[in-house]
Amino acid sequence: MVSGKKFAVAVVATSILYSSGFAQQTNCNLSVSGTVICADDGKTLAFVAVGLLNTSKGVTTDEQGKFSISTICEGSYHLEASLIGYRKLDTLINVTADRIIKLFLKSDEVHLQEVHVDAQKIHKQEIETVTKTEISGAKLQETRGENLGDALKGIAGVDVIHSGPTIAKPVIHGLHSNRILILNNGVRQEGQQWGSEHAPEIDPFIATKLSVIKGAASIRYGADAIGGVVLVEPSELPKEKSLGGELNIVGMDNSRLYCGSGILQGALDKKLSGLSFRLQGTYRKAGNLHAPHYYLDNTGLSEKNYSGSVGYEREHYGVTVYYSKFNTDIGIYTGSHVGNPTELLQTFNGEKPVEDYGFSYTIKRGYQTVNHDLLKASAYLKNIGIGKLSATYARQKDVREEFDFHVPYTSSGVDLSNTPQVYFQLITSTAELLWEHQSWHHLTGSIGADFITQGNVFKGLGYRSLVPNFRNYGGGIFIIEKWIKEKVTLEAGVRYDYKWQREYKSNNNSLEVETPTQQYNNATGTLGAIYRISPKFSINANAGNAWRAPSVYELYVLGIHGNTSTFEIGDSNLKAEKAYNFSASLRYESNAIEIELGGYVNFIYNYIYLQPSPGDYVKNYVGAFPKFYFRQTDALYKGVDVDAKWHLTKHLQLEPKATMVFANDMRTHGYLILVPPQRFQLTAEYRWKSIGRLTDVFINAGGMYVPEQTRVPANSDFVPPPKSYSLLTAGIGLSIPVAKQKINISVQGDNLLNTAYRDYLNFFRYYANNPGRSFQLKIQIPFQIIRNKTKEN
Amino acid sequence: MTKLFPIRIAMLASATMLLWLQSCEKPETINVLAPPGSGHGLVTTIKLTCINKVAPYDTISGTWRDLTPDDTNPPDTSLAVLILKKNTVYKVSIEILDETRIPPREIGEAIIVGANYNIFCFYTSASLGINLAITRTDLDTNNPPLPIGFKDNFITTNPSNGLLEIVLRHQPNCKNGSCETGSVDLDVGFSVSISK
Repeated sequence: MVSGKKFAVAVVATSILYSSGFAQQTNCNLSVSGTVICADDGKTLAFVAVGLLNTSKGVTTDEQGKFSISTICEGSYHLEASLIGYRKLDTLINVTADRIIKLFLKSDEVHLQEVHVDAQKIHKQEIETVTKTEISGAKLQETRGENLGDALKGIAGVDVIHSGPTIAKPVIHGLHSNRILILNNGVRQEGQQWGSEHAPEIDPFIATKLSVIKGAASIRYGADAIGGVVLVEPSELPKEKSLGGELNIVGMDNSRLYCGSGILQGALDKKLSGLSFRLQGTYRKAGNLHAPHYYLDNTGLSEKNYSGSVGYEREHYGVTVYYSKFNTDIGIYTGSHVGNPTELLQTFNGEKPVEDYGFSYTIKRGYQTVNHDLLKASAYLKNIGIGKLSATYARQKDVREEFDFHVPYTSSGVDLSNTPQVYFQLITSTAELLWEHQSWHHLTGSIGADFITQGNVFKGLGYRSLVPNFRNYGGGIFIIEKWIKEKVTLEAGVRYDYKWQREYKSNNNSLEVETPTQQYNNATGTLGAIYRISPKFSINANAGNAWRAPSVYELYVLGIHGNTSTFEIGDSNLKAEKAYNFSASLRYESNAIEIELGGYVNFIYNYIYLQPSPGDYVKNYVGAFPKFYFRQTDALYKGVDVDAKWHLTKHLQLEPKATMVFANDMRTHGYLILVPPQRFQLTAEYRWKSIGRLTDVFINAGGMYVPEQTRVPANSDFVPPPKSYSLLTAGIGLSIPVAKQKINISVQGDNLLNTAYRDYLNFFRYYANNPGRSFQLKIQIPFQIIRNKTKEN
Repeated sequence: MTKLFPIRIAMLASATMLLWLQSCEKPETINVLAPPGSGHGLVTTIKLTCINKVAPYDTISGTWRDLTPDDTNPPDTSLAVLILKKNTVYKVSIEILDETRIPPREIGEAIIVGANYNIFCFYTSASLGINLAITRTDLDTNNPPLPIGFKDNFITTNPSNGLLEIVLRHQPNCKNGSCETGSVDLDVGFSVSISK
């Protein structure tokens, strides 16, 4: 069995590109249908989401619990069935002919008949009543090769803040950086999140699913989750004997990016049954991007990431160890280097020529190097009569080095040529204990505690102390419960957090060491409901609060922010921000139309922001820099997200999306800076389930319109926000069945008209246009070297 | 449990160890529980020395000083003053120092090492009202050699007062002798008075 398959895989890579015929004719007109039944009482279950993983195929059971998925190609698939309050069912099925199956879902501790089930998911208890949007399967495939921030930009309600073309940070409902939280494989990502030019240190290729929780989520994840949470989730390790994986290849003409990422994973059987592993690695390299009319000098990047995990799982317990390393060098656009505000204005007004050195992969000085290591160990006990107990420990080390455009001046004898101007090292240890209790009188929920400690060090050239060093300790306890019956889900939770932090800084004048200390106490709560009016129509609403302590940068920064030529001054008396978030959404899903309409209001008390001090300058040897102070006000963010799909015909669908954010300073009744402009998108897609041997063939075209942001505070910026712009995109894609696997190939074009534009959320809008037209080729090759024998009926 | 259980545990443990070793790189050499160290690369002082070409004993100097360049304290410009004689040629040299160090560090050497990327620019336009012409007298090793500006001739004419702005431009791979390209590394002002 093994050797033949091995050979089949070995020829995959070559055959896909050159094949004129296929080894076997694949039937793509098969179907899987059946009924979903509650294992506890034998009743059928409506509204169960049933889908085949890594395909776009998914349906919901009708009121009789029936479902049917058609036009499936021959092959083996991960079938997933999930319903709130029930354990998710995930099983491998072989489809060689039309199949009718029964799926049993159990409300608590699992185990199933009919189809062999292994639903021991380490299922993170999230907040169900806050809207969550996921990108997986074909949608995730479309984002391959992009960084995490850009990969999320297709979601309504999510924007991206850029510092140049290659540094991107996600923005959820207008909030970003320390006001959102990123969970990397279940661990809160801790880097130098406060900086606009500090992108998340995560390789999106580790994930098979990217999700965004749009709304306050401090109740489960602790401080900082004011705007929302980004979840980067790898798939579970394989359960049954197998060896396989996936290869992704991406190329882009603009920047001449090439990227390869591979996964090899497997599980052992017999005496080593329960042991499984995954190895993953990514290499990404790009050179100078081209904006309309000129190259953006020194905008290349070089990224090398890898991760590995080993798991051991038995009936009553499991252990997983995961390690990942992220390593990137990112060039900073040469034209963005200005010494002082006078030069910044000259650059913006076009008085300073754009220095175009053509294309190069070389990354010159004016770059940042970021290394992030994460080690995670987790263990759990289950099927012991009380639910599931799990413990997770993680240690991460983030090292960020920023090399300025030139080597700092020094006296003889000291070689600083390889020394960064700014060096940060943050080591974070986190631990979590979680008890997901058994279902009891329609109640499910979890009780947990988490702990965190961090040590941060700074070394600088040209600065004595941009930010102080610090050590902190924190902890939280929480309980979240859900009551689910028929059409209604009710959810409530409470949490308490404590944080202690001490800084170590030296006074520039007295040269004495100062160790100011802060303590924060915070209680958070959430209350939400989902009402399923009909199988097609549901509404949900949530009220929750969230908080965050001021970052050490906001408390103590004293220095020039190079990107924006401002002199920023922290305030050591800043208090914690507290947010009260109200959100509601309605969801309608029929054969013709799917629509999700969400609205939210987020009051943020003690909102920390940078306030200009007009006419007030700090003078030093480089020039005069306008002073900006960190201040607090009360802010109100509100907005609407629209995400819809309209199936006009069997083949043609329209996908409109809108993201609208409005923000106000409640104390001055003015506006806030850097609030995302509105965004409207429309995509038309024509899709064939199969054409000859090819499946999932599509061709699409889309447009995006971003109006000018006019709601900006006066005197807060050097230049007015950029004008409105429109961009066109198009794509084409298909799947080729080869050796029971589907190879996905797509070509995508962005900014087709090569429009010269600047974006308000890009800090480099002062210096240059956004990148011009680009085409991307993406190839996804799954492979199986050893296939498991599916235990099924 | 079967007798193979220890083997499984051993395999898991060794994999864990491997992953752990990967994550343990060289130990921390910096201390969290202490303030960040004093950095290199500070510029506190710009000193101009003007020697009368025909009467070298007639030496004038002016000093622009900001001992806390990374702070909000304003620079001390009380000594950033040059009182020059009319119709005179001065040989001028510029010194750049870090006076937070004891003894003060000469930063200018580093600029001379990188002279092919650096140029001093002087702004004494008519609107500033000084009758002062400046020519750079030193050259870098570019081909053809281009002026740097550490050594200059200041040529005064009629009596006048005003501000002399001295700008050091950093021009990596784009130095062409003009003040158009690159970016500002240093920008300080001296008041100049040309006496009767």
